[in-house]
Amino acid sequence: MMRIGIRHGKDFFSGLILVSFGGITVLESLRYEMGSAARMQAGYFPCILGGILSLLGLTLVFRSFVIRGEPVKALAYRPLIMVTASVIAFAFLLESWGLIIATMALVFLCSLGRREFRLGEVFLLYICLIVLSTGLFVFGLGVTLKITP
Amino acid sequence: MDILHNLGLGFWVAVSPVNILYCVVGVLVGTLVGVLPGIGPLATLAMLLPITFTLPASSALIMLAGIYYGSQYGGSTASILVNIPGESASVVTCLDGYAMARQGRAGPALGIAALGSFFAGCVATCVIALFAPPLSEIALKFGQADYFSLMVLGLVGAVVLAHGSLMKAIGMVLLGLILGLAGTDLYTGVQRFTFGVPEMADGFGFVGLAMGLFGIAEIISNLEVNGACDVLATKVGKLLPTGEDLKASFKPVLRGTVLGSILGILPGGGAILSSFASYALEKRLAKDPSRFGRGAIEGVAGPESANNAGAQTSFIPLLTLGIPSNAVMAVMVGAMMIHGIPPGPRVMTAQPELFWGLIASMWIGNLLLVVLNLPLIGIWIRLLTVPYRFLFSAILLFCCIGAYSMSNSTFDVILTAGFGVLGYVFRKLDCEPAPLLLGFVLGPMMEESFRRAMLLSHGDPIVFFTRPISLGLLMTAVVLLALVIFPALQRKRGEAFREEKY
Repeated sequence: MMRIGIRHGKDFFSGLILVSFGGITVLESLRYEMGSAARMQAGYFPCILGGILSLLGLTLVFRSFVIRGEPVKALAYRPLIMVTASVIAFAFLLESWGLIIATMALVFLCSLGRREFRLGEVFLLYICLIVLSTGLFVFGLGVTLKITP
Repeated sequence: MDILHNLGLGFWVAVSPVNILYCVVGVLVGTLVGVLPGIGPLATLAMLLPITFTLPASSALIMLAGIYYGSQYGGSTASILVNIPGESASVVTCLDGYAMARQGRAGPALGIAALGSFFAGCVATCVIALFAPPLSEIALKFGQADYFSLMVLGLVGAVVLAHGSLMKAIGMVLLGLILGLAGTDLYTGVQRFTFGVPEMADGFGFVGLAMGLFGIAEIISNLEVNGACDVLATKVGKLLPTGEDLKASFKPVLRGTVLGSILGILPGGGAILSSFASYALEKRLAKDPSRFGRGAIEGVAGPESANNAGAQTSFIPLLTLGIPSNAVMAVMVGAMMIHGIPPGPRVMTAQPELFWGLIASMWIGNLLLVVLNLPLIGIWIRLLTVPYRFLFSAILLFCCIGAYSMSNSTFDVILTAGFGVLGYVFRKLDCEPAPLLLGFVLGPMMEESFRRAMLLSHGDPIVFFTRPISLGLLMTAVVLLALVIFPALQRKRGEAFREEKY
């Protein structure tokens, strides 16, 4: 059997993502009323957009089997996971534990996203950032942020 | 003359102490952001949007605009001294600017960049003042179908000038449009794509989307590279260019200014396109093109003037038609909406202090940039040596606080994280995020125009082709697309963007 290989990794995966988004859009918009061309309801425009997007994505996927292109370089999992984790940690900690704790989580977690992690440096950075952000955002700009637990 | 009266009003607004202060803050932050690699004006504007919430609208826009054209100044400093463009439009300046620096001529390079930018900025401000009013008048005659076609043209322009594959760029635009539609549909009251989450009633927050896609995704990419920026802090010496330098730069500055002013207005245009085009033009016109890349001052003077002119004239479509011509302008739309000012041709007549105050502040900002930056050059050089590992946590923290502060909502921060992941994945797949942002901003507006146009035409789509303005705009869009698909020009486009890796 002839082996069909993916020749253009980037196109394949982008196509896949776009088809998924397009498909979800179409499915969701079908749940809303369509209306007519003259009196469009909620589902009309997104359905059209989603449809075009899905077609586009499919074209990309098919094209990726035909045209040669660069393969996708591996995702850098460490920075990706650590940065995302640090933002999510910040989000969950901010309202219950306050800015001081939340920032600590953010700074330490995202610094772990780098290959070298020097505790002393990170701690010093944390102190600077907490002072700077409290001064700037809370006192300077009047943003309502809970500071202490 | 009416224009003098308006400019008078504008300067009156712009020289108020508060607005001068925000102008100074804007251009300083802009230069800083332009100097520092790893953070560009787009992410900065998104980060500072929440802060402008408490400011009056004109001060907010003055500051944000200052950041944009200020970053053009800062970017050239990094390009010339360290061969690392502080932001995208400065890539071309690396070519000859750094070569000049290595020949010990960093000072004149910086000086010419600053003077050229100032000249271009002044001219561009005049261009805006002269052309904006008539353009607004024309825009007021636009019907719904015309508006829709204009937005189509704007998006096509953004796609045509995006890097990478055309199909992916179109896909990103469509995705942006769809994301923009999430939330409560104002026309019917239906909650779309909210998946039952109450915080989604207003859709995805613009700030969270922009910060995730541009700020957080950029941080993850940079950490991946883990680049050690070896700063060869070349000695700067005298900043004044020689008489010969001035003579050689005169025409390039003029040409760059004209080119930048024109290209900035085009949809998709702005600083980046202008600087690349200017470099190509200067190289084409030079008597000895082989000098380029080895320290030809024309290669600095032209692009630097062009990118500043382009940055400023790219405000024109926003201020007159209400259409953002590039991603930075999309952020400005976001800023105006946050302040309750829907962008469009009525802004000029409904809020003349805002409009003319902004224009006047651009001139003041350019002056400030020359006056402040040339003496401060030593500080900027020292800042270039700040390692990225100190910066990125700060940027991340500011993004998080900013996202939270929009509606004091944890959900917004989590969404921002999600967009960060999405943005990173898209970067790995060579999908440009900028068209997505433009689509996001235009999505609801496009739907509204589309709906109204179809309502008025009783469901007949031919109306987009029978109205003359609409037809003209759509045909321009088709021509643009054809120009890109045509292979010969595709190669040229690839050539122009070959160096663009940032």
